[in-house]
Amino acid sequence: MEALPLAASALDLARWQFAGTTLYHFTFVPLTLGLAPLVAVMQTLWYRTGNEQWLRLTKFFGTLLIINFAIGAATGLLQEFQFGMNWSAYSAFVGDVFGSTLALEGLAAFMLESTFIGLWVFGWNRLSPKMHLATIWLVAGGTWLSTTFILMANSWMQNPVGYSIDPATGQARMENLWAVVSNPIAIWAVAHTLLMGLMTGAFLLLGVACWHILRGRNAALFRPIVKLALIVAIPATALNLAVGSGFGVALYEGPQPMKIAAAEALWNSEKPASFSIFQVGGFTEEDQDPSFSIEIPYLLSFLATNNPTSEVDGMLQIQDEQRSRLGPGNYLPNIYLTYWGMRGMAYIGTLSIFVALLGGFLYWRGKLETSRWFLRLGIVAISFPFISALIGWVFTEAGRQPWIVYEVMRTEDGVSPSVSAGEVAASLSIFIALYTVLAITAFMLLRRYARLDPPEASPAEENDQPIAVAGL
Amino acid sequence: MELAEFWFFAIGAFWATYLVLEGFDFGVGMMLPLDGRDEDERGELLETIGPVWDANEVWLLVAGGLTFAAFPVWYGTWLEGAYLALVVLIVALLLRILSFEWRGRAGARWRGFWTKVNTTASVLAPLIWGVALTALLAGLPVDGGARIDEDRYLGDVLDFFSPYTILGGLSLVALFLFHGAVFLGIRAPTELRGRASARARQVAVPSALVVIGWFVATVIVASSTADRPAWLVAIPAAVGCLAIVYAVFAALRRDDGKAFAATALTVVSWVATLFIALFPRIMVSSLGLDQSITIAEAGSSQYTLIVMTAGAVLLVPVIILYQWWGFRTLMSRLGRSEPPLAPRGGIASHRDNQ
Repeated sequence: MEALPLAASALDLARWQFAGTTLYHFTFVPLTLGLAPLVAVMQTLWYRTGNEQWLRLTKFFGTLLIINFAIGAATGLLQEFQFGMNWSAYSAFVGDVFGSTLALEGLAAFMLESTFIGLWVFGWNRLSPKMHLATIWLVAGGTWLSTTFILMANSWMQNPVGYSIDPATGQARMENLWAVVSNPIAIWAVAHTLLMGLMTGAFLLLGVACWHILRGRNAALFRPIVKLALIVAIPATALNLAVGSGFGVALYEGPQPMKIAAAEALWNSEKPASFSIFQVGGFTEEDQDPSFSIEIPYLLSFLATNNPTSEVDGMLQIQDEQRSRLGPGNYLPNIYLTYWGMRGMAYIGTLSIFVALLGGFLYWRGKLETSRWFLRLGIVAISFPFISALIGWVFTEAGRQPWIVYEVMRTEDGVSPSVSAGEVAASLSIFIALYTVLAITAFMLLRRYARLDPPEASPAEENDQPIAVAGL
Repeated sequence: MELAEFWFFAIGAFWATYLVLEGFDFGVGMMLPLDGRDEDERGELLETIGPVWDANEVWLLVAGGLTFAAFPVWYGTWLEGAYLALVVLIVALLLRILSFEWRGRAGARWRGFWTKVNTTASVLAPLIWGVALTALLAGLPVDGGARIDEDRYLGDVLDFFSPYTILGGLSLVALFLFHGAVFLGIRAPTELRGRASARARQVAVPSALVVIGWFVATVIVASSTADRPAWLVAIPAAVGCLAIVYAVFAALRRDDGKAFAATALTVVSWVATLFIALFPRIMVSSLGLDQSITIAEAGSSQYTLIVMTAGAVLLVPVIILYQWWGFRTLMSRLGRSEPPLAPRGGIASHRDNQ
């Protein structure tokens, strides 16, 4: 009995470490996903028109891209190894399916990104303009391909398909590659994540342009950036609301009705089911009725099933059904996190749509640059897609607990049995300290470079060396 | 040959590629305080690997990913066992990545700091990899017969450390120092190149002695598990020893190009010796040879291995082509003696008509 609380805390610490470091990694990923193609568009515009201002902007935003890419790559290193380090039982169980997706990501995508970002940074004078343009597009393509593979792996954990359990070893064995690749959850997740990346990149462009215009600096130069940002942001935000909503239906009608019921804190089935804007209380089995809530009738039925009048199953009914299939147990996720995670993501996402539409309207009326309040809002709004994405991941991952592989392996069964609580406590402390310093430095660097005047395009400097050891 | 056996050696090939490529990057990191006299010079040394170190490091991620895919039990048990050592390793590699990126950006005060970070990480990383890889053969407290829901690693991180495994770590550090010194002897700007060559001549003999020590120890350790002829292990070990002896002579003759090729061959032989010594096991158990984790038991399903084989056959030649092209494009000598540009302003200057 003595070892039991210790074992429990090793699991908790491992979960905190994985969640913390993965969310941290994912802070930088969406910006790379959005900024890489946007920088590629800028360079293409320069290549096509010969207009020097696009070259200056390419270099200006390219610097932000490579700073961000470096942190993404650095924190991604831990991602590759911590499955084995902290989740060895999980790794041994899923390597056959999950590991091969990661390995193919490395071969097909990450290799591409890493090689060509080096060629892009250092190739300005060594490659023909056309070749050099191709390198940034290959980087952008690599980041999107990489996302696709990673989400295929994650979606297999959310909705395990195309495998069987080997009776001799107890391991999952891949049986159908196509089922893994065409996992419907993966397809929704890829669309949702890539659109979110575009939102993040576009809002960064918009915010940085607003900052410069607000100070009356480089206004002429950044005017087309506002336009480019809005052209991307308006459809991306609007489309992503639709995709997110479709994703919810796919989860409810597919593998994870529990996640959707928990996102509403819906204890018992309702027909039709309403959606609460917010509620106080009602998040525990003992206290199922909220003491206060504002509800929109029919909306949950619509969100979960696309039909405003159909029945939505409650958590308790879903749990009964799970118990009949999987045996006794508690199959409820953390309802508080799931409920607020879903709302935080959706509310901030919706706010982003308003910012984008407002920007579009002001731009159309030619008033954007004189609306100082909007310029200030645009700067603040840089943070919206980041926050929305992170909270969205909390929703997605908290909402599938207690499973590490949905309805197949419990999170507590996946942890490394021989790694002690003390060891994880030590590593967690190290990563907290390191990542905090990193975050501050990264933020300061990005801010500093975002506030510089874009470089002159005229070849005033007489050397052909890239910036000092730019790396990457 | 079984597909799992093919993948065991294929993963060995990925490790070898990674260690040859990142090995000279680590060597350059170790050479920073030995070759550069001030921060400007150290910046020039780092520039020799600036464009390529990231592409080199991806081979580690690919090797790690392939290990996960082809031998999930190996991946899980090995990394779990080495937990704290790997935390140190990852922190080192992570800070090293940032040192490349931020050394030139974070202000002059911090340049010296990031140089030291790069050097420290460049020593720590091969040290830990050397220990962790050698420990596979030296023996670890693993229970190869464990089921998926049972403990497979029955010790802690200290079980990775023994005189032999520490020799493994030191041998990679010594080898990479030499490898990096001759690399700079080819690639560094003029004055630094001469100094790097001189340094290579100094480190050649001590480095070779440590490396040969590891080769000899490995043949001895391998022959103690006498289910395969010792000469099989002795062949790659002998190639490695001859290669590094040749590298010493080439360096002393000031032919750093040939010395570099020879140190690269030594790295390949290092990995080949280890993997051939391990075969048919992956992780030798210190609890009894029959408890070792074997290739046959630890491999993924035939289906997955076929998928991985198809992926690798399709992608690896393409990767080699574009990386080779990238190396050729970017490794044209940066023969400038002016100090590196202050990083203000942008990614690079551009001249259209070049």
